[in-house]
Amino acid sequence: MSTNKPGAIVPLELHYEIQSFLFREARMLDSEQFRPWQATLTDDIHYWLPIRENRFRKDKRPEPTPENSSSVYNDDYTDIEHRIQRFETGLAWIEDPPSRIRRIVSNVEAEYTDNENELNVFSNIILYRNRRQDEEAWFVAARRDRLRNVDGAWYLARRHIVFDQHVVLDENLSVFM
Amino acid sequence: MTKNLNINDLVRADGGVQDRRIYWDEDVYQMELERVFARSWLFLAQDSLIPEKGDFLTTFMGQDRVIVTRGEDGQVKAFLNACSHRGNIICRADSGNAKNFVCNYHGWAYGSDGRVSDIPLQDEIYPKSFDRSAMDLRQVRVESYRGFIFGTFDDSAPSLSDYLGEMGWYFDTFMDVPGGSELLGPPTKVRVKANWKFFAENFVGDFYHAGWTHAAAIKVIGGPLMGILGNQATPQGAMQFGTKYGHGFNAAPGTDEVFPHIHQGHIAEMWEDWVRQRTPVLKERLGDERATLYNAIWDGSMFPNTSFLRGIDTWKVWQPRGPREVEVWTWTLVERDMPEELKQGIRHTNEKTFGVAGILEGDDGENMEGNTQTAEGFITRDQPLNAEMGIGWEQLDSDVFPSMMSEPGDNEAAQRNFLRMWRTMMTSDSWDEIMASRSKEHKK
Repeated sequence: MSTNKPGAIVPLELHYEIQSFLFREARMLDSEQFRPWQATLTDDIHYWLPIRENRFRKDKRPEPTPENSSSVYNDDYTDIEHRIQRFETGLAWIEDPPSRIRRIVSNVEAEYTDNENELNVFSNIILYRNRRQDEEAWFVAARRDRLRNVDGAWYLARRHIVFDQHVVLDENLSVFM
Repeated sequence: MTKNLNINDLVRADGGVQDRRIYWDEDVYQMELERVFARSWLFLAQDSLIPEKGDFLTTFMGQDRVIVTRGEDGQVKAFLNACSHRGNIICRADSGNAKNFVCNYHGWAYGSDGRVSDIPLQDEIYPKSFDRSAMDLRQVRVESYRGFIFGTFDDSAPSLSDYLGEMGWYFDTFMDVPGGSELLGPPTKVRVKANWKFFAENFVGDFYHAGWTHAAAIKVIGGPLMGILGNQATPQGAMQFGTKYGHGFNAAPGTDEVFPHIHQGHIAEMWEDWVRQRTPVLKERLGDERATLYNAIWDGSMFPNTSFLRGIDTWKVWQPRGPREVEVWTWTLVERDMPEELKQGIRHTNEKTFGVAGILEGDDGENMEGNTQTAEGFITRDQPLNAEMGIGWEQLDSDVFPSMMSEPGDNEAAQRNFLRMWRTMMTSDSWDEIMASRSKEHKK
């Protein structure tokens, strides 16, 4: 891998491997297999969903909001562990009965980075959440992932989610994307 | 839908029983926009959110769009965000820096004071008699309290300081610390299909729900809050307060060893060190009572639609979007002199617990939607709601604390006080009437 230039697209077979990682991850999250999903995260995971603001084009401040500004998720491994534990207490009333969640992952691109064990992976998702009798939400986002190869297996080391709503139009965003 | 509403019939005089239409009915809501939102002091901004000349943000007062901006003279002004010509929205950005605001429709421009600064081709297309000054944007009356900026459309309302009343004394516990407090933004925003009052009431006094609604999150977070898990006990030493114009809060104080907050890990230690080091300073500055409240977990609301939590350090506005929908805006509340690492840690706690994906916030939203939506049933809507917890135990101006106080912390005294203020505003034709009525009630 060391000869591959940062930014170059990975070859077909590796692309397939990465895409399979994302699809498998999607299936685990849709079916509430949070512990197996957690096992695919690195210990130094940064899971981040900053907020979007309406800004004039001439406004040079970063958008979405940068680190050390407002976010919806700004989680490390412990934060994710807490979210999963909360779910496992059996006391999280809002997920009982459970929501129905299904996501479509698309526009997958994988690029080499300056670290021979890591790839930048881009994808888009459409996530459908259906709750209770008739509550529906559609969430659309882009994901900027960093995947790391450790002893031949891929792990998620960073997920930066660019979420395409300013006002979040459903009652919460309590769903891993 | 409901004609000839008599508001006095919808909330019992002591606030303890409510007709569900106040959380559902479109006519009640329209009346609230006029009688509550257009006459109250509403939260607009905090100094830290618009620190420089020309900084602006756009927000809402009820459903009225407003621009809040710091002018060339450093003074904060607020005015309607709707062009005087044909009514278009003038500024569609959430925040930024601008010397003027230009309407997209015909190019009418307004200065950072809200006064019209340019009408393209005016001399050629308007008669000399045209009253240009009448085109200035409707101003909001703006006042601030310790850097927290509020506005009202009502010139006859009492001053912000009088409107806060004893709540200002309590706010000083964290606002009048050396250096003051500030908000970290921009706000996160989320839409919930619930009546705004359910949230404001929940924050003004509902300790009782915390141990049950939030059981899962409390179990995971642990710490001093574990005592209330599953509503097995009322919080030790907790008190509830309600002030003249409907504001109120709960506080559960800690001790020299116990620090009630929900920060975790390293940030929890930093928070506790900070409180330990600040408490003697506050004792000197503000006295024993507020030094005690400084190390306490609080939930509170300022009438009508601003709420906060201390020890979690959230600041929220419930922006109404009709009788059955609300937009929840959330900032982080910190002390200005705190080290940057602690401020960012507090922001992180606030977002993790009471943000858009907060592990406690989601629980509340679900309840508030349920509270609202069951009223769609004709018969259900006819069943009154109850808030009689601790009724009759309120005391006015105890030797220690000003305003109305009640114990234990699991109580609905503050909700009743909030609802009585709401009832008074909805039924009074003038602020004179409101002031007279509320003063009478809060006179010992």
